[in-house]
Amino acid sequence: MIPLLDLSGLTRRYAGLVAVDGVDMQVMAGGVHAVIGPNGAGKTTLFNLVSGLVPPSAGRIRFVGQDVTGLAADRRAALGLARTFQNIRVFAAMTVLENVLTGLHARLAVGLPGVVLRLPRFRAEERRAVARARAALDLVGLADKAGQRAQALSYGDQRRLEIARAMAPEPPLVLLDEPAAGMNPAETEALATLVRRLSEFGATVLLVEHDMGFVMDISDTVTVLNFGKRIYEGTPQAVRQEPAVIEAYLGHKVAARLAAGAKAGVRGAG
Amino acid sequence: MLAQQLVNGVLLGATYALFALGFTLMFGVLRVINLTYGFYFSAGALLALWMARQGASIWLALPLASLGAGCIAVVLDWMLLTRLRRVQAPELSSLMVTLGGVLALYSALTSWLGPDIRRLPPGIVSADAFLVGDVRVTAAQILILGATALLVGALLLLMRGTRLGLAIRAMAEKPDAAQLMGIDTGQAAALVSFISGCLAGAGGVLIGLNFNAIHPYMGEAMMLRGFVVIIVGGLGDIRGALLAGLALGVIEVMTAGYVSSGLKEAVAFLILVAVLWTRPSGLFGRAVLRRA
Amino acid sequence: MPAWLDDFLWTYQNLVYALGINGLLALSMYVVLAVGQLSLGQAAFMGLGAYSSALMTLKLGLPFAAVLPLSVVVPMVFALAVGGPTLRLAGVYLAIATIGMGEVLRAVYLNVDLFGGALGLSGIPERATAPLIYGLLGLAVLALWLIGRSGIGRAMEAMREDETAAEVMGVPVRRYKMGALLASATLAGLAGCLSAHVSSFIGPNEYGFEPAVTILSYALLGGIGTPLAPVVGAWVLTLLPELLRGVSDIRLVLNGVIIVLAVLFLPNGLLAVRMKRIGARTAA
Ligand SMILES: Nc1ncnc2c1ncn2[C@@H]1O[C@H](COP(=O)(O)OP(=O)(O)O)[C@@H](O)[C@H]1O
Ligand SMILES: [Mg+2]
Repeated sequence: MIPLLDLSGLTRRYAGLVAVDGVDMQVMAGGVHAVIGPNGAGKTTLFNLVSGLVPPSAGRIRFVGQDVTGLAADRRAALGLARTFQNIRVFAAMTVLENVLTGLHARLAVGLPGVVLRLPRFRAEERRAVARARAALDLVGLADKAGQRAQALSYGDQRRLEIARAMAPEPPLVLLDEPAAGMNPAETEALATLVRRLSEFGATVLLVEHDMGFVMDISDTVTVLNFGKRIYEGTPQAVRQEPAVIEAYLGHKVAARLAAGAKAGVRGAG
Repeated sequence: MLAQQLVNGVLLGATYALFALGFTLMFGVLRVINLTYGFYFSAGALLALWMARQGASIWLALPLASLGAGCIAVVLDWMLLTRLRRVQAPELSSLMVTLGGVLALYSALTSWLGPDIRRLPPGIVSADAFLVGDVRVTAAQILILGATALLVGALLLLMRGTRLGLAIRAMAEKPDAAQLMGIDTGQAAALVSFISGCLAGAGGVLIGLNFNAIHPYMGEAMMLRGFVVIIVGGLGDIRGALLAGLALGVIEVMTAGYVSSGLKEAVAFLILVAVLWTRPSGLFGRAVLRRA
Repeated sequence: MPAWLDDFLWTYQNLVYALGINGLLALSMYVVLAVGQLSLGQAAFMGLGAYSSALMTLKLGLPFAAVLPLSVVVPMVFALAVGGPTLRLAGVYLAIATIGMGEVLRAVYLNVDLFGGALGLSGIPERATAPLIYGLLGLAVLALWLIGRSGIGRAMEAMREDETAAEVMGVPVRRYKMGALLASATLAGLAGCLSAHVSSFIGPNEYGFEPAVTILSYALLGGIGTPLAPVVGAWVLTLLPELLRGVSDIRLVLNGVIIVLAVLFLPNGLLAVRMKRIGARTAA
């Protein structure tokens, strides 16, 4: 089975540091794949490389069996690669519904003549788009706020709007960058349910998250980055017990003490 | 002939470099293309002219006009940009506000003073010229080169050798971190504007001396060269601006001498477009192209 | 036509032309601002349209029906040459390169004999008419209105708010930015051709720095929520110096101050309405 997303030797250098360093990683279709690692480990940079916002210094990216390394971000989106941002980036002055419709842009075959002449095909397409957008809002539980300005939403709702906007085109792969950041425990709980539903809907989820409880709860596979390098990959259970991971999070001394003592999780770290 | 052209080119380039230095410093630290910059240049030249007419010598008029332009820069930065900095407005808003500001300033100045070209009183610098081999160098040109070297040296010393320079460089590299480290960004912005304004003002006086033609819009005419120099040198790159300025001066003089004087005006723009197509991050490749 | 209307049009002919032409220029500014870009080359594009069309009429003797559509060619070529490298980069590069383009073209008009130097070109026959100018203006407003209402307009607004997020949503931002710049060059080129063929004379100073900034002030005063807003901005700023004697002396100072005030205190312009499009209606 070919992986949905296949990174090989992916590297990104910035002046004086290597943010992502020769990462090999495969994301298989179906399920939830988490990327964890301490602050500055290169997780967001990895997402930027995958979504096409930052060109790699070396390495290749294959998505749905196609080499997309040199492809612009909008072309990757059209192929079905969606994402959300760590720092919320909704279109603030637009309504919630319009935000989600924008997420469907690549799915609309809007040619300029059709638009200017308002051909029936163009109208039918807009109607279909609205139906899909409403379905996506339903999925995240924002259906009743479709007519509000995005800037009027609460912080948690804006995060959910970003997910709806990403999910509207029914992408095979969605990247979520710290979706639980700034959420209270109840909201995080609801988010976990939502993420599981995304994968039930057929999307593969690749996510970055600091909340270890959340990650351990919902992921099938966990990849650990430290200083831009992939240091471990395995099931959530295996990751908890891996000395290299504990060391990356807690430092050398604590890790040694833990290894000597009882087997302990790394719940709550980061 | 070639040697003479080279000397003229270097002299012209030195003033371009001096002009662009403050411009690129402003962008490097404050992250704003500040289009009022050309106005400080005009203001410096006009201030020096006024002082010279009151009988001041060039040794007095040059530094005072330069300081005056620095003060104008601080006031304009405060009026136009503090608010936008506070709300972290997009950089195009800052660009537009300075554009509107500079149009208002130039037109106000022109309707006050008239658009005519003014000349410095004769004898403000000695009319002597020296022959080195068969290259002719005027006293004004020596003054220009000397003053440019002095100002560039002072700027580099300030940036590399003092705590103040360190703070400015910290702001350029990591504005948020600089703020955390307790650098008052408002004060730093005023300081950087002042330094840039002084450099532009001095540049205006020196160009005024070189061509002996001073008018309200002279800074605007300089801006194209300023753009070319800071982009070719890399936005925010002081060393790059210095080299790019010298190179542009030499290329312009050579073009006028050996190709055609009409093309001289276009050569800067052709270089700009060529560099944007091929090496948009500037010759030394440090400029920020885009923030994801 | 009633005699009084004829009289009125005769007396204010130039003003009538100027309102239409400045409306087109305001739209040429609008299309780039609408995708979140700042081009300051509108006056330069206008100049290219004016000079190229005047030369086609004067030197080649082409009929106006051919000259008008051909007048967009040279501005579009320059838009491609300047937009190609800069639209990949941060927004400041396009702004800088287009200001530079205006400065250089002015120097070229002044120094090259073909363009008549400081005297410019004169004796251009008056071929454009008010109905033609207003017809084109109306068509442009209508087309931009329809685009603005559609999914493309929504994508343009998204680009204006956050280009990176829009790109990740699948909006082809590079293509839209280039399209906007080409549309801008087209509108400005047409305006240049029309103005050359109503005023019989063109000179290098009509397309320099001051007109470039003035065109920006039209769009910033009116706003860019809908395509009508910048046109209204242009009309206000064109009429004001005619209505108030004192204003005409400080017209440019006023335009500059309007830009400053609009950016600082009125970021959506005087007519701060959003386009009505599917899903745009706000509910409490
Ligand atoms: N545009 C950039 N320029 C320079 N350094 C960057 C840039 N983006 C990220 N970095 C650096 O790369 C490293 C990884 O950052 P990031 O991917 O944001 O980490 P994470 O998301 O894992 O916290 C950090 O040291 C960060 O400072
Ligand atoms: Mg991150």
